[in-house]
Amino acid sequence: MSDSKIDVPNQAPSNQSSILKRFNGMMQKTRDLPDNLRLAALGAWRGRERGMAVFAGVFLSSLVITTVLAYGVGLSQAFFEGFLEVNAFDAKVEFNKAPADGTEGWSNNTTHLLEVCDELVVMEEFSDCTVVFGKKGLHSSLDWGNENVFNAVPLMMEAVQSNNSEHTWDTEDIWEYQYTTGPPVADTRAIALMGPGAFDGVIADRLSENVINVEGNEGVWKTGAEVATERGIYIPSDIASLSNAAVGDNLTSLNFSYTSDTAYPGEMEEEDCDGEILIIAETGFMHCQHIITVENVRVLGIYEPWPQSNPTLAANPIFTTWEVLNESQRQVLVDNDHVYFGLTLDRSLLPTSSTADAADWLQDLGRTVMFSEDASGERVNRAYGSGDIEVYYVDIISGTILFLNIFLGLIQAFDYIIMIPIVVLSLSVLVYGLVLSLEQRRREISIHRVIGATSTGLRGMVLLELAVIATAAWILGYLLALLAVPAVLASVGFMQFEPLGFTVDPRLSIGATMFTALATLGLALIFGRSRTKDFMELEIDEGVSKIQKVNKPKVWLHWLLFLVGSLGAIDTWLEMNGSEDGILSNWFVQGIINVFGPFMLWIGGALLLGRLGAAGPKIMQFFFRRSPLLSDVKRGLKGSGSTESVNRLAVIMLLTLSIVTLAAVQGFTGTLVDERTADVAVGSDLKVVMSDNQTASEVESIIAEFSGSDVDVMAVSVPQMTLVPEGGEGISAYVLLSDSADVLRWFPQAIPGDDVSAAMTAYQDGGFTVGEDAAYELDLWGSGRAGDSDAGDILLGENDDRTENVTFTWNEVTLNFSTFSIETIPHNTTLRYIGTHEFIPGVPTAQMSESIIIGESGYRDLMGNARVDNLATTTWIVKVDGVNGDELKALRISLEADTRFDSAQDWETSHDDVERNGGLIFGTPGLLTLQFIVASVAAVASAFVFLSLVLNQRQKELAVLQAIGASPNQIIRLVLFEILSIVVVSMVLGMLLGMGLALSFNGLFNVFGFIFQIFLGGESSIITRELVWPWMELGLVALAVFVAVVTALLFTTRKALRSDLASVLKGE
Amino acid sequence: MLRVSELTKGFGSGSNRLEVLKGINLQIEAGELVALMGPSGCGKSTLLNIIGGLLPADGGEINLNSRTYGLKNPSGVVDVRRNLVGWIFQDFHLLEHLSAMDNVAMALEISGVPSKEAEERAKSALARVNLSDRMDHIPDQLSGGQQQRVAIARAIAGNRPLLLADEPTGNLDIASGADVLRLFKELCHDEDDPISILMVTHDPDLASQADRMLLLRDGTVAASDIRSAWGLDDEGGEEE
Repeated sequence: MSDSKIDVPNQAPSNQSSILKRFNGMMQKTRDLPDNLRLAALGAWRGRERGMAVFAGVFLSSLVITTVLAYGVGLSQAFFEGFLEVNAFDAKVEFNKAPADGTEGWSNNTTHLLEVCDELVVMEEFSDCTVVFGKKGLHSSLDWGNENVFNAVPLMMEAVQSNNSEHTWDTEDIWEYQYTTGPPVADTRAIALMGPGAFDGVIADRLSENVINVEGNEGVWKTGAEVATERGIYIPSDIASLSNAAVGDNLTSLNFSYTSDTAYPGEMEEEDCDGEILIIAETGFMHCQHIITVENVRVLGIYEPWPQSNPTLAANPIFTTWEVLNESQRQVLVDNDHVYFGLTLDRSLLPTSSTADAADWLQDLGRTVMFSEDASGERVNRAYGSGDIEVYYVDIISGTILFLNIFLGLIQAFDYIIMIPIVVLSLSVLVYGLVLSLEQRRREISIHRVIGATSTGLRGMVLLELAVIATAAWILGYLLALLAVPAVLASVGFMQFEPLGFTVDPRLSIGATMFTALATLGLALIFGRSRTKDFMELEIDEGVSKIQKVNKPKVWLHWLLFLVGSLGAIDTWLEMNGSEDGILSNWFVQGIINVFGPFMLWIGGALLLGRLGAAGPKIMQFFFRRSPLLSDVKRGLKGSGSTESVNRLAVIMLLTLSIVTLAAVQGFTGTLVDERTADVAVGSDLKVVMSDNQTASEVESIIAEFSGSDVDVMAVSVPQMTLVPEGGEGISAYVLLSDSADVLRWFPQAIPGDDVSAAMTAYQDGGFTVGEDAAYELDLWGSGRAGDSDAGDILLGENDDRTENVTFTWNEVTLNFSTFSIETIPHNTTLRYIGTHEFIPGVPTAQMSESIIIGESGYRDLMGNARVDNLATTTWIVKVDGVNGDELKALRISLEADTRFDSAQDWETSHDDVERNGGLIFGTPGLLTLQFIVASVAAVASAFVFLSLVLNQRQKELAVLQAIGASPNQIIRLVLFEILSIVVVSMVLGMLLGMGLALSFNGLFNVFGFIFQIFLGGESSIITRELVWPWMELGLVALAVFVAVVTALLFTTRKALRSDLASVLKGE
Repeated sequence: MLRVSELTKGFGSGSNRLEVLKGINLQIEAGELVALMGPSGCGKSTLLNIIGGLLPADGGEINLNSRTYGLKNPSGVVDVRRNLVGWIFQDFHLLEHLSAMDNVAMALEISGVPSKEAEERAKSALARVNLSDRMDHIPDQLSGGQQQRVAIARAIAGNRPLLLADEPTGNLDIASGADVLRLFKELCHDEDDPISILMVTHDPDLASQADRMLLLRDGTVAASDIRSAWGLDDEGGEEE
């Protein structure tokens, strides 16, 4: 009893006294808090088995929920950084109005211009600034209503003269360049002449990043002074390849043009322009161009072009210093509005909590740059450069933000959906842990009540202990999650990580942090409170009794969920095994099933199969009935599995193992799909287009120059020709030369049947395949013409009655010089039909369905050996053994920069692209990896924790068994068999369920893949999501769980065996 | 048949050390029903636990049907619990999820009796305690008295010569308690196969019906018949 109660006079309760009472009560509580906390912590430690269950549950759910939320933040940052990376400049500042005689607010004094830069960099938001002579100003926002958007022409490259005869600067269309983003302005390569600010600091860092520095092409982004003395220029690698230029080349002169006047279509006459009139094809706008020539420049570097992004700047220009110009040339460029300030932001100041916040921040920044308030509080244009320059701020970043927002939203929706299972899992571990742990207190609470404890006091005792444990677990989970997020984002494939290249700081807002606490800690406390309340409401003797009534579960509901959820899985399975559209043909129903089915299957399946798992001992007894292992203890297994705790153990095992399986299957499948998408795009390690026709051995020796002599280079081309089948129309045919079996990256989806080498042999033995449309055209089996019976992915053997021989004719066209007439010489060959194909790796897939593929033997029949042996062409698919990763990228860059190559693609870059926006979406492999790891850990940990609890509950039973004569050995056998059979059966069922889940989740991946393709507008991936079953990884996890379970069992059973039998039996 | 000599047992260590048994000597003959009494905390249960092989003693020895033990850990005297002593507890300690039949048969199987035989013997043991009609009921479906009788059947089914009963009627109503005691008497006085029972009890009425009574006081056996146990020697009899 507290002192306060004594102090209160025993009268009718006055308002004052009740307040005093409450105040005193609160004071008492506060005084008691440290002591109570200490007691709670002590209690938590004493009951650490039951505490561990709560800890595991709260920790896991805190880890998962925080990761999911922080991942969202990190993803937004990573995405943002990814998009920002393609911009060297974050903002463009130009004169507020285009310079014109008699107007104010601008200056052609370069000193003044430099001052503007200095003033801008003083603002903490900006990290670097440079004056740039280049694209004309917009002077208003970047939208379709602003006609400047169409007229902001860059400084355009006109010509380069060189004394070096090997240079090919005169290549036709060398300066033609397609700007793919923004409105059409001019399809000409730009030049940007930059002030000293571009050659040091942040801008220099960013620009130097893409400068190629490989053997034979050692380019460096030099300092302003060096570039000025050497009169240096930096050219993009495609220009280098066309011009055959290399680092160190001296050029006699360089011409570029600026625009003095611009007019609407047809409104500029010859006499209006003292230069050349340029008419833009798409818009008809007319520009009056004047040439500026600079002499004696030197190539200081070749850079790899950036992806084109914001159209405010002209992408991938020739970079040089303004020092190559004289002062009057600079003034001319300023006068004609060809000047702007390129700025970089201190990106760490950009709010990263959401893109909307970033957009707001940027907008505010723009206002601050442009305006200030005068003495009367009016908004006026801010003045720069000794007070005579007014500016307009063009934001480059926020343009990408809108796009980013939509895309990010989609990705997050998808990622959140696939994280639902793991969130549910962690919450169910939490709830089950609480149930088990509180269950152990049921008796204790009743006994406390017998001895007179009040219900408030008891509830307080339980809740305080719960709060202490849960808070510790929440904090740990929260911190670990924040550490884990960068790793999740750095994941490029399932269980594969690559450094992100920038730091993400996935800090959660206070609101989000509160949410994680509420969802874990709060849930634990609310649940604990209601459970304790239930215990309080129990009759005391009911609480003390050992048997507890359990509500009957709603089995019909579990069945309903399971059956509806199974539809999606069965559908995918049917589709994977040849059915056209599975059991669900209505796309809307299928869509609904695809999205909700997996979850219904998962929950329904886990609850139903959990019962089966709990019956594990009965199932396993069937196999071991006669074994001497069990003869003396098997009776003890009767009725096992009926207890609630065993049932929960089975359900938890099922949930965790099914997620492990799901994550591993979908993760590996996604990784494989990404790789195959790259395989299909590139064909092998490299795909190159030569400037001239070359033979295979020529291509190989050229590439060997770059790759080194120790690398085995193998090149193959896939010739295309038109063949006429007997009595049919001409059809496009691709030829698989014999080397293509080795060089191209084949996989079963491409060819008929599943055996690549068998298919390759069949091609070389005079076989041909057809695409599905071609099969229809040629009336061959495999077109699906006669329904499902006429379709299938099989390699037709020689004796198959669906195979047939077809004679093809190739009409050689020659010019007869004696008669000056065109002659056609027909060549024939008869080939055997071996099935339908889908594509050839490295060959564009658009026409594959209407084409046929023949082998080298048929090709030789038609063309003759001499022509085939000396086949020369431009497109080659190349395998460079042992070169991969960054080396392969470097090799491709050097090839691209070489004049003998028109273009080159490498597998790594293509794979990176796919990973970032293809099959598995940005960050998704990371989430699946996280799911896999967390579920694996949860499986092991919950096995350990739950077993300890279950065995703790059974301590008395084990003591009784010993008292009636059971030996320790018998006890261990009994427990091991019972629990292991529950665990093993649940694990097997869990994996089966996980496989079913992986099948039904495939539908979801397809739905989202479809949405992404629509959104990105790209070509849809032709790779089928054929599931990969990673038995090894699953086996390892299963083994780890098994080892953990056996360890936990031996540990806890030994403990039970060592305990003081007498006191356990006495119930002390 | 059972001879306990100089048995000592203490708990705790250092200044907290408490010697509970300070050299117990006692003897029980076959077919004897012996009640063990004494004030709370005097070591009755400890003595019982040591004889029953659930607790090792610190010194002395026990000889039961020519098996000598007493100092070994519970896991070293599995054979004693299997073949020599049967346990009957105050709160029965039946396996909750097994039927009466299975509870009894399980104990036999653990001792190596083949299933078929175990079931036969379990049936006859349950018949002996008058539970033939309740063999398939699980403990929850039986009354306290019935549960205790299942426990007795479990203890006697293995033909063990000695039963240890720790407050066997403590959780039972008077009628059930009387039933149990009647059963004990029958078992002890069976002509073909008499067994001995050592029973801890606080109930003087119950104790008075035993063949003999032992009084435990200050860690030793203070008296070995009811008169001296109740301190009645001097004043002459006060018998029923």
